[in-house]
Amino acid sequence: MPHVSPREEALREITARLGRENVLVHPADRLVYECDGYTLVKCMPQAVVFPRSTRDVQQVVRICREYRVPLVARGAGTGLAGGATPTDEAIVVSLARMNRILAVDLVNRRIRVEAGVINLELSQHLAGTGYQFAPDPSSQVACTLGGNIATNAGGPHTLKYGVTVNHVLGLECVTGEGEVLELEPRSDPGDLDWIGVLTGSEGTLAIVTSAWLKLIPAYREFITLRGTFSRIEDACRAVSRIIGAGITPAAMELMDQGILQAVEEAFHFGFPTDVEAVLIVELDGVGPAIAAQAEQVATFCRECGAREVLSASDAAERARLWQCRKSAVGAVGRLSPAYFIQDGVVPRTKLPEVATRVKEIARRWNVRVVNVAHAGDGNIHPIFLYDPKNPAEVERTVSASHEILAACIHLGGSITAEHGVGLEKRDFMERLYPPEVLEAMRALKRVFDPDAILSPGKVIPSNGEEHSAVAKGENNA
Amino acid sequence: MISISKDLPQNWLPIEALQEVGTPQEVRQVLREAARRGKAIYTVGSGFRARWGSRPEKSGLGISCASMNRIIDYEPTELTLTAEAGITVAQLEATLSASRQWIPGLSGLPGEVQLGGLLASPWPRSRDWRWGRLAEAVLGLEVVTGEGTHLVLGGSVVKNAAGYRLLRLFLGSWGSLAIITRATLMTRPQPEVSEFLTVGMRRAIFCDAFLQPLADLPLPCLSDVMIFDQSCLTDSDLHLAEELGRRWVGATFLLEGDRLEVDLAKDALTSLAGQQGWKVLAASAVSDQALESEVVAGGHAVCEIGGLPAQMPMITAHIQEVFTGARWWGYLFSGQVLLVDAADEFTVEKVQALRTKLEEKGARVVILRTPDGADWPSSVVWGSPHPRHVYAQRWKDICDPAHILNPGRYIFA
Repeated sequence: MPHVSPREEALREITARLGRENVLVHPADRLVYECDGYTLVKCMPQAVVFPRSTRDVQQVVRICREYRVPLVARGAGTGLAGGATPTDEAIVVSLARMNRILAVDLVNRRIRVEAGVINLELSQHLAGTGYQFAPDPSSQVACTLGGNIATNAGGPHTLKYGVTVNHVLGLECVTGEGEVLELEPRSDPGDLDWIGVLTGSEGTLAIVTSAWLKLIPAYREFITLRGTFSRIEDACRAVSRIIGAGITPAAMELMDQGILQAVEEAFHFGFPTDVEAVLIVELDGVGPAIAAQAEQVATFCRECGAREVLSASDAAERARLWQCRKSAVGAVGRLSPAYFIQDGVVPRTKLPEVATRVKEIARRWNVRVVNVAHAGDGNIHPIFLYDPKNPAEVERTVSASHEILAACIHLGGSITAEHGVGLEKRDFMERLYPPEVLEAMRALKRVFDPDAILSPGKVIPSNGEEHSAVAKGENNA
Repeated sequence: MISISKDLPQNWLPIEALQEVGTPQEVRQVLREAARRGKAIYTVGSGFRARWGSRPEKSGLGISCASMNRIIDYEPTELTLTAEAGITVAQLEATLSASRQWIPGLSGLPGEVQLGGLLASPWPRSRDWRWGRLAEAVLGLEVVTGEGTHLVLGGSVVKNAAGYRLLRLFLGSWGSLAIITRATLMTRPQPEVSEFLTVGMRRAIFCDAFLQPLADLPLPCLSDVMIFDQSCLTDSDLHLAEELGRRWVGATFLLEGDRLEVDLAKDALTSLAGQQGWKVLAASAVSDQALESEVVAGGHAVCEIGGLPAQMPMITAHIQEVFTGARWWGYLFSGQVLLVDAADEFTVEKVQALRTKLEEKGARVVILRTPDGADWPSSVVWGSPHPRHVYAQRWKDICDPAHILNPGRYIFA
């Protein structure tokens, strides 16, 4: 009888449980799962499995735990930090086929969804109800709500309404021990805030299978302004002026010259390409009230050096403007054979300083960088353009991006605002947090995933003492 | 400095001495020494919650952070404020109002209440749904765990996705995992107006004829709806009860935003009231701040019930059935109800009867403050442990391995 390794045995049991139609093993099928949106590191998974229910996920986790096989949860693969990269030949657990909207409950102002529901589909489903789910990442046409929860995703409109964790009321998930954890959507002072900590834990503590999300009433009136600035620093100063005046726009987004050129080429919106930055400010509310605010915003922009401030003339123009902003990153593909997007955050008053630092760092490392930013949140997204066939350029690009993260830390910010740590920034955690905080995070990991089978090696740097499933799995194999 | 407190309810919080601490380092020293000796530690803030929770298990040392009361950093343009745990609500509000800012979760609280205590053991409030619970405003937190480790968690930026949001496990944990020493909070511009509109209706129509029409009228400036009955009226308000008849329910809409937006919302709600047969009452009729003062003042038993908005009619009906003389009010959208009783009829049997009725329908009942003189077991105060309690217990064992923090008062055995 031929020797069967624990990995093969685990896969055989999973296949028996889920059925062959829900398991991919052929190399050509697995290829697309080598990485997520962070393409600098690619690893071939052992297999890709598609559970259809929480019970399926539980079975997969239990089998993997028994055989010490690592697994990685995956939504749409739009993550940008390598959180879904299947290092160590992990099994990819794709939640994409758990994509039902289970309940729309407007009386209770909540909606229940499976993890694989796409963010934009939720918005479309709610159209006409007067309610919305506020987090709207730029990838919302593809990203899943499970992924949003795993990374505590943000988006342009979280300036006013908060990030994903502020909109999660209840969760159903499967821990690293294979236990189903039900966190009901109701207040309970007799329990710890597990939703608050599981949201944003990047699938390393538990795999979210469904969620109760908060619905908030949506405004019907908007004014969307765009100010053009000759200096990006001036646009950043305008952000602080607006916030300092007590105005909380629904969104405040910045695009620099490089990205404007790409967007113009792709969409022909009419953005000027001879300016350093465009600041988009969206106000929502009741007509006359936001009209008064819009006048103030325009004044502040001009006082900070805006060359001109224009307002979207109608709903169609507003929609096109947002299409440009949300598709901006994709449009960068016209400028370069490859790119990757960085995610850092600084106190918003430090935006002018970090904008200058980004320019200086790019110049010094001789790399091409274009910028978008959720400026109202102090959240920068420098996008690095590079040629993957040029190793020296790749190396310079990575170094420059790391220096920008170091600058964010130096300015009192953080290494990620909304993309998560994943694989990409794991080693930066030691620069951001002292050892005792990292040790507390490791301890929490052990609470939910004592055998370290869920996305091992992600988020928290190893302290060298971990008995990860990776090592055990390899030994077993 | 060590002193014996004269003000604390000595029979309840078994504090042998009260120690003032002025820095996280001092907190750390005290906790390490206590852990070494197995000495219990009870955190004491403004004192009104000294009687809250289940009965402490053993005598120990009280720690007061009252002298750690500085604002460390406040930059209105950043919309962030960092302060020490002993700072009072009055100090915070004075600072924020100078810049026309607020922290919604603090609004309306008695001035002497301290920040650390509010973060450690909150209770339902009227702005939880729209603006988020106070915990959601916390961007950064400094704590000293039961084993004496000083943790600086989160940061001062409004978005931060770096690593586990550990601070959320310390907020609301009743000081049983760590002692909070400092917090960075997100501030907001104050809304131009904050106003109420109160309606009354027959209990019989409180369910579908209230909830569904309200769901069909999504108003962004409607922060929440306070639900109450005649038990919440003072003597001077009794004419309201006469107006409404015997079995009625009141609903106060809290509207916050621009003047125009709030006025439009009031018009819409008044119109809806006319259509649905709700009676619009004088705006000053009932104030949740006045009711809340009973929670804060002490002397009453306080019960918190968590459910769904649609369960509010069921929850309140059961409350009236079991606790006929108790005062209760709820916040509709957040699904939270507070039940306050002068303790005469607040018995274990009645609490268990209410719990049985509500929990079989998915609501949750906990006792924040037991009646004076009562000695109820933790299982009555907090209810039966969840299946997930094992995770809480593991986290407790990590943060406070000697179980010196608040032994017996929270959910941990």
